[in-house]
Amino acid sequence: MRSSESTQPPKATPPGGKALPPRSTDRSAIQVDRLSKTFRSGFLRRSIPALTEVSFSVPEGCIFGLVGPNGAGKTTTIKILLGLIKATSGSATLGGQRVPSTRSRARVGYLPENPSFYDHLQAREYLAFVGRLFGMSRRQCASQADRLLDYVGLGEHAGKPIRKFSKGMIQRLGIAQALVHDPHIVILDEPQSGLDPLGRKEVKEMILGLKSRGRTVLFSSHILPDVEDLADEIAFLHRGRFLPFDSPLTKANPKVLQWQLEVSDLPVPLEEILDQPPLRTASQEDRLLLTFDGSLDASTAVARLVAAGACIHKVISHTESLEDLFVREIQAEEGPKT
Amino acid sequence: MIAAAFRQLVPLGSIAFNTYREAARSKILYSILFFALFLILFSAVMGEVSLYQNERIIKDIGLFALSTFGALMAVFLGASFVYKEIERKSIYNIVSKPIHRWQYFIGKFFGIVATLLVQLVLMLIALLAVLWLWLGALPWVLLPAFVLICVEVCLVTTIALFFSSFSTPYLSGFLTIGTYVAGRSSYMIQQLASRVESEGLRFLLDLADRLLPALYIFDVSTEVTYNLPIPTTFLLQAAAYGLCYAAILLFLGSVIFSRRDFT
Repeated sequence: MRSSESTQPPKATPPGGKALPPRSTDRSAIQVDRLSKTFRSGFLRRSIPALTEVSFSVPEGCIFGLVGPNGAGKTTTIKILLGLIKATSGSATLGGQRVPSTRSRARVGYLPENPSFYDHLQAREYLAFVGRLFGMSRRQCASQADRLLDYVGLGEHAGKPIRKFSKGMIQRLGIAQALVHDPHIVILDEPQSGLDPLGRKEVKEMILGLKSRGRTVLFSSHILPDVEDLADEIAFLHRGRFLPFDSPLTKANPKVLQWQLEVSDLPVPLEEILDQPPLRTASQEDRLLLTFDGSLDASTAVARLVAAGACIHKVISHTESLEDLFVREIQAEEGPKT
Repeated sequence: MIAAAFRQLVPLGSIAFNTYREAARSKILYSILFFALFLILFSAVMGEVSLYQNERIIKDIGLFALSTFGALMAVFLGASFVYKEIERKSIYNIVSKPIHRWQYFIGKFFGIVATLLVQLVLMLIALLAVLWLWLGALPWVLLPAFVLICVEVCLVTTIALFFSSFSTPYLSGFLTIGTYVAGRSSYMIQQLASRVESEGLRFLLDLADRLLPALYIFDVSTEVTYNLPIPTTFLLQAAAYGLCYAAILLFLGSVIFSRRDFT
């Protein structure tokens, strides 16, 4: 449960590229329609469903968080979008281009989960190589590689072989290579994996920086508080399906579990002002701390109290955290444990 | 049209160059090259101890080193390079870019072949240097043999890449070496097929003879050793056969590779 929610303003913006025009919410950057994937395993080609009729849409300029336990189908969804795996059925588009196709991948930057790069190359060489795969000129590749390495904090290690990089450095290089061609859509599979708290904070700032420049970001993560902080929209995947609630969940309307009002100078008893009685009442010097159920119409209650002549000091909403919601939904899906 | 074709070649060229760079920094490859060069130098010693056979021995051992070590390097690189990327998952970050899978596969092929050609040229220079120092002559008859060895190594690379498009490096290495040995001696299958009485067995032997690459045609060491002429027509036909066979395998390997899921 959380008491308040805040998103930090972007502190870092990636080098190069231009800000895109303001997002139009009626256009989807990513569109997934009834996507299913069944793997075949073993000699008898046993069916293993990994994804079942998953549909979602990510508006342009939105940060979309894909959440779920291990084996939920997050990486499978991302791999289908990037053409690494072929869907058994369903369809998807990236930037309006059908998946899988080279056109759909041309405007996408992708960071794989636990990325691995060519050990024999230096960081600068690798970024230049990736740039060439996007059709960039050698000069563009070289300048963008240096700028991006500075941006992710690897500027001093530009000439170092990748085999000597730590896990955190590999992750940073992965982020740099995902941005090398200034993509419109950025897909990050567990971007904060392997990073220390400082690194995680920097990644968060980088994602917010991308959003501020009109880029669309789809990312998967196990770190629920980070998803909660970053994502405009969140979808839960569990056993290859979206969990059955208003999916994808928007952060604009989180469920309030409790309201707390701190009031003083009540002219008449509370029962005469409000229809709904508080769950708890506590006194603090000359003030009363009233705790109400989440079903309270808080704006009407505050208006009535003010009209009656009471003084309102604080209004606190206790909303359901992503973790609470995640655990509740998974438990509901799996049924009570015996 | 030309610009579009060029755009297709840019990522292919980048992958080929990167593959070459990776192979050129491989220590195993240098070890194989070292052994090949050692064998070529050793051929001079062997020539010294033979009676009036210096040139024959040096040419014979030198061509054997070029052909065998070239094929060995082709098996090693062809069987391991694609699979290694799949196993390490570094391929995720490449095929997720706006390139076709065939561009990746063929780019790998060109990168490996470029590496092998550089190695073969180094071996040839060593062989010519040994012949020059010991005999004071440069037998240019080695050049057609060298061209055929290059074509053969190119073909062995595609065989290894083809098998690696759907199997592990050990299995593809084993299958490639098996195909190499069978292809080198496939003329014996022809002879055997003409002698067996069983219709079924003859059909199978005929089929094997048709499917297996006739690698023995690239071995002209006898002609080189005895300074016999190698007709240009034969040279062109053999090269065309090898390159066509390689192109077909490369196409099939690309198709199989394009259908793979990278889980």
